This record gives sequence, C-alpha cells and structure tokens, in this order.
Amino acid sequence: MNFDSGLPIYMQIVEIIKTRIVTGILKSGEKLPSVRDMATELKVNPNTIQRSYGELERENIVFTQRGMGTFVTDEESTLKGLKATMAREKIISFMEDMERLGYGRDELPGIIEKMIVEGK
Amino acid sequence: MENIVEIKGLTKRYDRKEALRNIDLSIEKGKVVGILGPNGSGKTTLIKLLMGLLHPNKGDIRIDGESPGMHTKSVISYLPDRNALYSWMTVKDALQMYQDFYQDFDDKKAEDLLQFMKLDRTMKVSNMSKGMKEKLNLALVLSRRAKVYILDEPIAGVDPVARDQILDAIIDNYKEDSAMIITTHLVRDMENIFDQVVFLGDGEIILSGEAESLREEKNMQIDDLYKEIFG
Amino acid sequence: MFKYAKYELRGTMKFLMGAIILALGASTGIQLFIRRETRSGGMTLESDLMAFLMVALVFVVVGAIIGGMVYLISSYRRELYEDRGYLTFSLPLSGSQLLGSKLIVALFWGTVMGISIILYNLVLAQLLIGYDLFGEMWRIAGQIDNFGFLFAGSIVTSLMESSVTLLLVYFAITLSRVSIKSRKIGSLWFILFIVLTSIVTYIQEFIANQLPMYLDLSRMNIIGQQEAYILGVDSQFGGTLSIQGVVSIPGLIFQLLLIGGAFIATSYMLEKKIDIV
Repeated sequence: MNFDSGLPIYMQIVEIIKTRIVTGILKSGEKLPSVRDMATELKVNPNTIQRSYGELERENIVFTQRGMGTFVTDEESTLKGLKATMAREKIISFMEDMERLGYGRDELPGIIEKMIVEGK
Repeated sequence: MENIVEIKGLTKRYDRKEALRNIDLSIEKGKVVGILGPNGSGKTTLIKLLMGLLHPNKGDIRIDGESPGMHTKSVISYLPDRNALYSWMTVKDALQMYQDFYQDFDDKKAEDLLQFMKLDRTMKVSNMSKGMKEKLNLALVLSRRAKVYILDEPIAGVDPVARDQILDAIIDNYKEDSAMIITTHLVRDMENIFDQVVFLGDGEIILSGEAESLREEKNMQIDDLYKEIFG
Repeated sequence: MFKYAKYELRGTMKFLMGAIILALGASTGIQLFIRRETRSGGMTLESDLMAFLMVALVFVVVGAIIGGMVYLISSYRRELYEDRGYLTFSLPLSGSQLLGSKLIVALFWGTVMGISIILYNLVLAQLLIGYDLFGEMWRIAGQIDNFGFLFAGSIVTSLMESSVTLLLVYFAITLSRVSIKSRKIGSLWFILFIVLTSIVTYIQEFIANQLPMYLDLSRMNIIGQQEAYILGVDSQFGGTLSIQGVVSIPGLIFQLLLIGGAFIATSYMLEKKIDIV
C-alpha cells in the first residue's frame, strides 16, 4: 500500500476504513480485522493501525469490546451521518476541481443534469 | 514510557575522520525507529556502537540500563548489514548456535519463520543466494524474543518478492514490549513501519521525530522529506 | 565457557582432519619405503627418483603439521579481519570465553594430531616391519623410576609451552589489530610475535639461571644447582622439562604468570579495544 498524500498515514487509513464501511465491505456491527492483521494487510506499523482505530472510536464510528475486538457501530444514524459527510467531502472537492477548471458554481447543476440525461 | 535505549553525546572517529558526532537519541519500548541516511552517513557505525562491535571515543550508550557488553548482547537481536554466518554452517547449525547462545530463542517461531521464508534446514549457508542468506539471517533474528531488535539495511540488495516477505515478517513480529531499530536508505519501502525517524547525514542527526507528526508538519511523506534533505 | 569451543571445533574439523589424514597417508608411504629398503638389505635408496619421493613424503608430513598450525592461527585472525567477526562479536560471549575456546580447540587439535601421527606410525611399524616398538617402549618405561610422574609432567609442561606460544601469537595478532587498522600490514603480528618470544625466552632463562631451584620429577624432590649439575642438566632452559626429568621452578612459575598475563591482556583487548570494521 502506498500512501501518497501529505496526510499522516493513520488519517489515510481512517479514510480507507470509512470508505469500506460506507461501501458495505465492512457492515454495520461487523468486527474489524485485528490490529495485527490490518497492519500486515496494509504493511504498516501496528501502532499506526491502533491510532487509526482510536481515531475512528473517537468519532463513534467503531467501538471496542474488551477482549473481543473492534466493531463497526450499529447506530444507523451514525452510519448515515458518515455517508453524508463523505458525500459532502467528495462534492466539495469536485466543486473545487471544477472551479479550478474555470466553471462557475451556477454552471455545475446544468452540466450534471446533462450528463445524467445522456446516461453517462 | 520507559527508554530501552539511551544515547548521549556519542562520538566515533576512525583515525582522523569523525564518523559520528555528538549523537543524542532515546528510544522507547514498543517503538519502531528508522535511522535514515545515504551510504556513509554513519548509520552502520551507530548500529555497531550499539552492538559493542565498535567502541566510542566519547559519549555514553545505555541499553536496558547497561553499556554495551555481555548483557546487552544477550538482549539485542542483531541483523548485520552482511551475512556473518560461518561458511561451513547449514541452516540447522545456525539454528543450533542461536539456541545455544540465546535464552530468548523460540524454536516454534523459528520453525514458522523458516517455513514462511521457504528455507530448508539442510541448506548450506555458503551455497545460498544473497536473498536467501538475508532471509535466513532475518528468520534467526526474529526467532528471538529480544528486548531490542537492530536490523541494519534489512532489504538492501534483495529482489522485490524477498523484500515483501521480509517486510511482512518484520510487521508480523512487532512486539509491544520491545523496540526495533532499522536502518535504511530505501525509505519508500519501509517508511510505513516507523513510529519514529532519525535523519542521519555526515555523522550528525539532521532531523528526528515522530513519523506521523513530521508528515503532518511538513505536509509530505517521509520519503519526500528524505529526498528534500538528501536529494 | 565452552559453548563456543563446540563451534570452533566444528569449523576447524574439515581442514584439520584433512591435514591429519594427509600426514598419516604420507607416513604410510614413508614406512612402505623403509620396509622395502630393509627387505632388500641396507637402507640405500636405489634411484634418485626414490630418494626424491622419500624426501617429498617427509615434506608432506611436515607440511600437513605446519598447515594445521597455520590454519588454527588463521581461524583466530579471521575473527578480527573477516565478516564472521560480526557474528562472533555479537554473541553474548566474553573476551576470555572466546579466547579460551580458541586456545582449547587449538591445543586439542595439536594433541590429536601429535598422538595420531605417533601412534599410527608405531602401529604401522609394528605391522610392516614386525619390530615390537610398543613392547620395547613399555619395557623402557618400566625401568624408569616414577614414570607416571615424568609422563604427566612432560604432558603438563608441553601443554604449558604450547599455550605460551599460542597465547603470544593471539596476543601479537590482537595487539597489531588494535594498533593498526589496515589489513595490509597484516604480517606485523608475526614480527611482534618473534620479538615477544625472544624477550620471553630471554627473561625465562635469566630467571632460571638467577634462581637455580629445580623440581626433579623422577625423585619428586626439589634440588639445587649442584644436584642439577650432577644430573647433567644444562641450566640454559626456562620452563621446559629436561630430558633428565628436571624442571626449573622459577621458570615454571614465570610461565604460569605469562599464560595468565597474556590471557588477561588479550581477552581485555578483544572485549574493550577491538573495532570490528
């Protein structure tokens, strides 16, 4: 796994896990891989995974059960919120990219609508 | 956290040339520390001072509370930057030697690691390729339950497949109660396993710190930072 | 202490066994020649070729013995100059344990080599020539007073002398490694060894001459210069057992001190001064 952005690796792993949850690879209430397995899979230091899990727990996206492991939350509202937040981030970054290309914000809905109609 | 390694004001000269100048470094239990720098920066000199293979001109080294000697050698598991196993040895002989000399040697673990590295007990060291020697040495080193692991250039000069195997073995064998010190100039391949990095150039520490904090602060990966410093 | 000796023994096994087999093989050749010559009456080697072969075989035996010695010395030297030192010096092994192991294994091989060559030749001579050397030796031994003491004494003193020589070699190699890093001036140790040996021999003789006190092993008593002179002992020796079974006590003590001193000094350098570069 290559982590290319300037973000700390634990943050990038938080994003990877969030994506896995939102896309359903990790389901609500499912157990996350152990820190060690995750470390081997992503080829990073186990301390980094520990920190990522800690961050996710702080955001209430996962919870730890003593001696059992770390689980994805089964609070539907949290998961919906996560999905919404990630969608929002994607849209914001999309809008910023488009602005850089020279489109005005007011032009965006039109472009998107046109693409949907064309079935792309 | 408890410091398992403490280095203060360490200086080493070869003849007139200063190979290391006034190095201060502390390493906590449970941390993986990368010593990064180009060839000739003093990485191996530092490691050999820790191992007691070299003797400092100035300064103090404490490992597990003691200066390098019999005790520290019994708690450090060391992978040299070259194969040092005797040429007459087979894999079996090398295992036997580790078992004879190190009380923390774990038979079961050695068995697993040999299997993982696809090494046969009857193979002779002198007939092995460079990659195989490296894997055998690493298997021996990781078969110990040591307080400190010192790996000097563990992936230099091995093919990509062996490189992955070696990295996996290092990550799998990480232990919370021991420290790992790894030197490398192949930062890209290894940076993700470091908690702490030390940039060593011309015998001095140029920069050191938590890997994640450095990424955040400099807004780049350690490899890019390495290229910026030494490039 | 002897954990390392096991590995030193295994590492030197192949070469030393080879040297011993070579020496025994050449001895066989020599004995066969002798048998041939004695059978044909008189010891005249009939052709130049035969004479040459005979001399060559003697050289092979001597060469095998010297080769074994050189190999054992180089086994020590290699720890200080070659990659294997990275393993040896990272083992939890004190300087004295390493040095002790090297010394014991070298003495062991010296003894094995000496005994096997002598015994083999005696047995072979008995078989080939039919001369009962063993019986003859046994008979002579029986005639000597206190043969047991003399025998033990000669083993102990020759082991001590070998130890002195080996330790001076180890000391010289280690000292030259500590003082000069470059491998190129590698033969420095040999000059150092010769100088040290000369000094030691001189001191030993000086002490033995100044303090004429001897241990007479065949009578188990201490004798002075007068008695030694009567026995025909040449006073010009240090800790060596003379042919009369007499050894200088101060010489012996000096030798013991020398063994201890060289051992401690060399172990100290191994542990504290050697930089494995």
